[in-house]
Amino acid sequence: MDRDLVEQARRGDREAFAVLVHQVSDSLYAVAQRILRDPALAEDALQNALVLAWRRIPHLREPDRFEAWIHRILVHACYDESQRARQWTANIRVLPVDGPTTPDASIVIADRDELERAFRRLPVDQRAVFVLHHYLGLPLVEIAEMLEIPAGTARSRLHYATRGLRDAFEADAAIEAVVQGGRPA
Amino acid sequence: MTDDRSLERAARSWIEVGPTRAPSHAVDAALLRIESTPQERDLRIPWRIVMPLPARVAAAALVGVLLVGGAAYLFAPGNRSSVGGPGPSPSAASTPTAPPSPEASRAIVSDGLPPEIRGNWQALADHSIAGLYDANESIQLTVDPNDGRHLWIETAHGGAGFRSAVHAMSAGEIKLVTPSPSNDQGVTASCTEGQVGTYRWSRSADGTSLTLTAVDDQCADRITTLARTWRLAPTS
Repeated sequence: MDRDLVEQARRGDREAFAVLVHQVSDSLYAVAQRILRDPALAEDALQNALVLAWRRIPHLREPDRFEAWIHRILVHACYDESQRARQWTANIRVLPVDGPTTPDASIVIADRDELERAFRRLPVDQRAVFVLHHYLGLPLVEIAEMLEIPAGTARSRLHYATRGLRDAFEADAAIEAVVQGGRPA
Repeated sequence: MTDDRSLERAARSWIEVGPTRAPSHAVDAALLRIESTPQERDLRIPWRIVMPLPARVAAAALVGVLLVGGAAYLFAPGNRSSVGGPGPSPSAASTPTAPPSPEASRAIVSDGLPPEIRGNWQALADHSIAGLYDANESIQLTVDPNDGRHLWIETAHGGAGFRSAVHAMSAGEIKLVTPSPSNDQGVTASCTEGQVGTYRWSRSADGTSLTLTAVDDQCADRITTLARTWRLAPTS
C-alpha cells in the first residue's frame, strides 16, 4: 500500500483515496461476501465501509496500517448489515428429499450446502474471525489487532465457529437419518 | 465429515469459493457518495510539538508576557467592572462591532426551515438503505409545508424514514435531531433517538433545486440519504 497515497487521502485528496479504493475494494468485497453470504448485503457493507473510511481517514495514526484499518471498518459494516438483514431474513431449513444418487459429486455438493446452512447460523462476529483466518489466512494475533479485541477473544470466536459448524453438521446428519429412516421404501 | 480436521479442510476449501472482484457499480457508487461526503476533522493535539530550543524559549516567553499583560489589563482599576459582570455601557458610537464568534454563528436562530424550502423535493437514490429503498429508486424529501419544523424521506412504495426535527441556524445551516421512534408520523430508519446532524443548504437561483451538504451527522445513513441535490417536486 502506497503510504503517500494514504497521507494524501488523510489531507482530503479524493483522487488519492479513489486510487486506494481501487486497490482494496476486491479484497474488501470478497471478505464481506464471505461473511454475509449475500451479494447485495456485501455491496452495501463495502459501500458503507468505503464512505466511512473516507470520513475517518484523518484520524488514522499509522498510514502503514491502512489495510488492517479499513478491513476493521468493513467487518463492522458487515455487523451492521447483518443486524439490519436479520429482521427480513427467515431461517429456512431445506430437508433432503432423496438420498444421494451419485456418491462423490453429491457428497461434495451436500457438504457445501450443509456448510452454507451451518455457517449462516453462526453469529456474525464468529463468521468474521473464521473468514479472516481461513480466507485471508491471517493469524489470530493479527486478527485480534485488526479488530481491536483481545487475542483470547479472537481464539474463542474461531473455536466456537468451528464447533458451531461441527454441531450443525451433526444435527443435520441426525435429522437426515430420521427423515430417511422414516420414509417408506 | 464430522471430525475436526476434515471439517476444517472442507470449510477452508468451501470458503475459497465465491467472488473475488468487487462489482464496479458498487465501487463507483461509493466513490460518488464520497464526492459529497466531508471528512471528519482531526482535532487531536500531537503529544509533542517538535521545536528547536530557542524557539521553545521564545514561545514560553511570549506566553508569559501575554499572561502577565492580560492579568494586568483585567485587574487594572479602570477595567475591574468587566470582571464578574457587565460594566457601564459605553456609547454606541465608540463601541466597535465585534464579529460574531464561530460558535455564535452556529447557534439555533429559529425552529423550522424558511418557507422557500418547505415542500417536496425529489431525487434518484444512488444506493440502497435496507428496508427503506433500493438504488435507482425515486425518493422524496418532504419539509413540513406548514411550519418547516420536520423533514422526512418518503419512497415510491409508501415507506418513510429519517424523520428529523429541524432547527434553522444562521449562515445557511440546519440542525437535525432524530425524534423518538414512537412518533407515528414517520419512522426514524437506522438513526437512533437524539442523534444530531448539521447540514448546509443552498437553493438554486431559479428555486428548482435544493442542495444539502453534510457538515457532520451522528447518523451515517442520514448523510448518505440527505446529502445531495434535490429537485423541486412537480405540484399535482
